[in-house]
Amino acid sequence: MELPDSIVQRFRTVAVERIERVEAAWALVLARLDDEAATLIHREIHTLKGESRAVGFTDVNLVAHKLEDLLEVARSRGYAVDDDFDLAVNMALRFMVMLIKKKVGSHLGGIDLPGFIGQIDSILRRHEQHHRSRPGSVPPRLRQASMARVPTAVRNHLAPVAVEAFLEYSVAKGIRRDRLRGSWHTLRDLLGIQRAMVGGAQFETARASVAQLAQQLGKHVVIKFDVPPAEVTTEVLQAIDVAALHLVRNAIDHGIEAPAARTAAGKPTTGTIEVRGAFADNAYTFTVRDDGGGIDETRVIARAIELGLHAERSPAGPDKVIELLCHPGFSTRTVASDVSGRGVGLDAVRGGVVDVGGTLTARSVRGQGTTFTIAIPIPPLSTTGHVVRTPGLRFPVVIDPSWRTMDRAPQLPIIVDLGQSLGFTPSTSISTRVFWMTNGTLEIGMVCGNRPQLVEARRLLPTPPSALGEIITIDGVEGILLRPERIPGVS
Amino acid sequence: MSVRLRLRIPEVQDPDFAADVVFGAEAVLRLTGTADAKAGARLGELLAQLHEELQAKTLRAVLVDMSALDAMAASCFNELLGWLSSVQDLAEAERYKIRFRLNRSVSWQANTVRALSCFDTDLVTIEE
Repeated sequence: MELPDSIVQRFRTVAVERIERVEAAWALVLARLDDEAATLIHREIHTLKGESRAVGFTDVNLVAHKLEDLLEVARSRGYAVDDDFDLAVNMALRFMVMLIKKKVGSHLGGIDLPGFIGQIDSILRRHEQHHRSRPGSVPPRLRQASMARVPTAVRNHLAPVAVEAFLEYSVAKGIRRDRLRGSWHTLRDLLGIQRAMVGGAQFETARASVAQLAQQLGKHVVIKFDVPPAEVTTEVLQAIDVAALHLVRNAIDHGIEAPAARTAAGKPTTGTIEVRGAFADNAYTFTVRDDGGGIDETRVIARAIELGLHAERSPAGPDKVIELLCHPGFSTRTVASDVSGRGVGLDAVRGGVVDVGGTLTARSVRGQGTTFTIAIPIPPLSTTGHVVRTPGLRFPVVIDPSWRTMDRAPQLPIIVDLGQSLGFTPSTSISTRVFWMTNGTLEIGMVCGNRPQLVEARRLLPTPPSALGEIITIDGVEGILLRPERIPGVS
Repeated sequence: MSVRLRLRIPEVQDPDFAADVVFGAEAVLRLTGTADAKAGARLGELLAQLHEELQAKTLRAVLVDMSALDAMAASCFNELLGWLSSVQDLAEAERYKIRFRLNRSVSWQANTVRALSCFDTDLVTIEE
């Protein structure tokens, strides 16, 4: 049914007015993070979408729908969007104006609606891929491409430098931005934390190989896993993978006795290996325990003396024994088999563990079994702090969790301008406000564009507490964790 | 012999941006540098001037060379869209075609400016 011209004309007038309001509000949101303007934008576009459908402007309806998708992405990023995204929103608005006008009779025959929708879709896809690929972690694909493994000490040294690169990239425009994006991404991919899950199904596949090895050695072994899923870095996961491989093989080969020997010792013929993992107090602990014969310290020491690794009269306690077992090339076997004897197992375990800052210890009781324990410190991979935004900065800033908001103004506050603190122009926007914060020692007034809100941020490039800040992500959006006490003049 | 007339946007305080129009066999609008929000009004004036000149000279094509344009604020971009709208509003015989020359190595151009042709495939073409 065709609608009366008066209704269609009314729609045209009202729709263009809506779009003009949205254009003004969009500029306001980007410039000042104005909450009311943001609400208006979403409301107006949603209304326009409904109205356009009602009056038969299905093309406007379609573009409005796509624009809503764009706006949702922008909202999820706190309206910290790139120039091209800003242009896409503006183009979508202008495209709708053109579609609304087209039925007035002007020449608009060359409109490529599918092409335009395709362009919007490609922008959405790009941002979705961008979002998926950065959940607070460097994508494994990128890390693999770089094939670089950066020692923890180097990462700690370079992380503050990466903050500088990120800041410069964030405020740059055009070709400079493209160039700095490349530099920043290289640093991020090289240095950033890559996350992985340890536990769960990861070890289930080991059951078959354990049974196969035990059969090969003529032993009866059952293995039990108690490794709940936990988030660690990929370096830690690799260290644990290596440790699990060698410690379990060693337990089967060296620890668990043959059935006859177990029977003679009064044990069940089937030996047991227990593998446990637990994350607590910022450390991951991984143990492999067997109920075998235990380490024969006398035999280890004798072999070490043979190899010239230990003097006959030197003291030899449990620590010395584990030290010798981890020595490169050390094995109590004089002939290497396809299972053991090359002396690389425990050496590889300890090397991997030490590389990620961990320790390997062992406790063994002759006749009862051995427990190897790996303890790896893992700094918190997430943090909860107040997120603030400020006009002119395209990224969120999370205040270190040691700071909390205050309801009252301090007597002698130190005023911190967020933009200026990060080396940019002090904020002159009328929309900035001062919020009071304290870490229990210092009290500051934070000049920013919104009321600080608590968020969970994922640490991408941790820095020590002595650094001004570090790179974090919030819902995949990169930002800065700021430690106000490190701002010159604050403390 | 072609007549070359160069118009420069006057009094643009941002030294990072320049917009020139050269009339030869075809008109060429060359945008260079970073067109931030401050340049929007001046760019709008230049485009209005250009629009009049093209009609006066009965030229039927203009090249917008953005290959050296590092960045463009949305307000400036909207001036381009407004200009395109003005061309669409002309009688068919008076319309001229607009070719945008992009630099595909500049990501914002590659990502968004290509969509300009969707506004009117009869009038707008993109070359890279």
